[in-house]
Amino acid sequence: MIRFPAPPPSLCETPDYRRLVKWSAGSHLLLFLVLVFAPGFRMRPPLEETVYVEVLAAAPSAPAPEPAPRKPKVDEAVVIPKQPREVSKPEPKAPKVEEKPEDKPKPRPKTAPTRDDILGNLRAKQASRDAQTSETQKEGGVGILDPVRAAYQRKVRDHVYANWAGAAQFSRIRGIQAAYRVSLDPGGRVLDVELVRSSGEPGYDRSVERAISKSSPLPPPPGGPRSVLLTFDPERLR
Amino acid sequence: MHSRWLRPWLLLLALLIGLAPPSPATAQDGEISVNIVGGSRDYLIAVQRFASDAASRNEVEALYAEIVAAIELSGGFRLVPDDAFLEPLQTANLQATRIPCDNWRAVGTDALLEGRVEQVGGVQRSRYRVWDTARCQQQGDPAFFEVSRDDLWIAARKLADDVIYRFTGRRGIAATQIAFVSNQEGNKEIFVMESDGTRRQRVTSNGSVNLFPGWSRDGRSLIYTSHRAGLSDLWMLARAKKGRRVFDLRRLPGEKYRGIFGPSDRDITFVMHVAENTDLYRARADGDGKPERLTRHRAIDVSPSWSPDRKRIAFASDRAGTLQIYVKDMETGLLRRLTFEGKYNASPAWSPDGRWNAYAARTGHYFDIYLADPETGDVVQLTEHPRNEEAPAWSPDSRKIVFVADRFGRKDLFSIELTGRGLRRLTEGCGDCSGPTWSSWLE
Repeated sequence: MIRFPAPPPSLCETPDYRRLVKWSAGSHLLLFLVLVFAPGFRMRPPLEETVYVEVLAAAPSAPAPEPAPRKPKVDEAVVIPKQPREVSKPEPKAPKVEEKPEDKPKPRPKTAPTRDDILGNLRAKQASRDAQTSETQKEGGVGILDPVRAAYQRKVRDHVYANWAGAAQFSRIRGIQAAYRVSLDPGGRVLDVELVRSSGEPGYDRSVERAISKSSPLPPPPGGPRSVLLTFDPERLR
Repeated sequence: MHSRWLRPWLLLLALLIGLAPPSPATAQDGEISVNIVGGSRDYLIAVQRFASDAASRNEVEALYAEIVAAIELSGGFRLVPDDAFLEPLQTANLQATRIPCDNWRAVGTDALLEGRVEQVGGVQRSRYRVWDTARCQQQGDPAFFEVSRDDLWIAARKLADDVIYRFTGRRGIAATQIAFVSNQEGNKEIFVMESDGTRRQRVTSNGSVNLFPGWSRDGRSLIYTSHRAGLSDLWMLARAKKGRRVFDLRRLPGEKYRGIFGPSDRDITFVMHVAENTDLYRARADGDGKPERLTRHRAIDVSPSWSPDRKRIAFASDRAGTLQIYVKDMETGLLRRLTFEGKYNASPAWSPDGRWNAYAARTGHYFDIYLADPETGDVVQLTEHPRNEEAPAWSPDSRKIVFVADRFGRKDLFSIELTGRGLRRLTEGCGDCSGPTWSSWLE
């Protein structure tokens, strides 16, 4: 009788294999635990921590709302909650800005920011915007993304408005508008004025150019020197 | 370790964001957009008393008063009061190449007028210059007008009109006149006065009924309708010349009304009643040649007014059953109805800049002045008052309208700015005034 030779032991029955399986299962378990519980490895944060970055525009409640009278209200409604870290400042101090024209990026701590830091910053920004947007939506206005920018826009608008004269005679011309780009130094002084879009009426453009000249220096821009695009619409008459 | 893996992805993301096209509102990186709605404030002008060795203090003050009044008449400017001056009230040095603009700006000044009265060869001259204090720039070269004691006001008005031109690019209207009809002496005669209502003088005196004066472009001639020879006919007046009849009645016997100069300086356009039909005609201003018929309809066509490019004519017609404003393109012959609201829209007047047709519209029981955009037909109400306001006529700078109103019982003339501001009563105690028409600038 021919006897078949004994089959070699199965790989599964080898002690090495069992050890490997145990090691693999243990390492997977460890990895799973790390992914689930370790804060630095939270790859998919819970839903409530999702940070949305989006411009919210409320549907206009009235036809063709006048932008000028509304925007100051919008700006006044900006609410900036206290934040754990200095991410969004409500009002940059003018002299401070001048001292630090390159304030972004700010000097960071020695250690690199953790995910918690980044998430915390984003949450703070979002909270600020949510508060602001909810306020502006109540007024039927347009949500503003950046409170610093909004505050600056308001300052510039008020400042130039006070210095603008001589455009009343053009107020009945439909759609008349002029746009100028002004370059500012850190103190707000107008360094250069560029005509972006003429109104087609030399007298109107002239009144706007005078307003810009008379308005220099403008409020110091946040974040150092930059350009500002100014558009000019005449106040509508009845 | 994870940061090592994340880094390339973050870099890629940043790269993609950086490559994204900028939005049109903020064409430049980090640019802030600001929209300003305003500009309705008047310019602030500081007027210094002119320095003088040649004129007395009283003469300088009189010149100053005339200049200030003329600037304010044109509108768009307010005067810096004397007590706000940080600089002297009188010009110190007209030759100075620089002025203390900061001091002028500090009191809100937009413009500065300074000058000097000089004696040159037996003639007094008012030399002046204008500054844009916001930009600290002189507006044009210094200029002068010759002044005499008798016509001080004329020089002052021309000077003021030029100051406004230098600063705004559009001439003031102080040195212009208004012709109108008044019955203050019983019958209706033609009168002429300055644009502020002063220096009223009668220019016809025929004891008949005289109506509808119309200026020539250069302001030297007036055409008007008169019944002095029985029938309604057109007559012409020229400065320093005797009046004359335009047409030979034997050649053109129909009754003629409401002549205006245009489309060219040598033409007149008028309303003529022929064979029970009233239409618009054009003829040579000297009366020669055969009149050309401009409208042809069995309804009445009246109140012609040419567009500034002389290619279109606006008029009132009742061809749709009610009196409405129409515009006819004389090149294509196309006719377009401009007004649709109301049952009585009359007296169209095309603005010299071509942007508007002013007209009188009856709303309820009374007339008000309206503006219609000749291109779009959009209508804006300019005056609103529970009495009649009618017969609008434009100032040559297209910024003002003179019209008739019976706000105080009798019919008087008023002027108002296109903005609806600056209402000014021009006549008082002249009986009933009507048919105003505004001259061009008088040289």
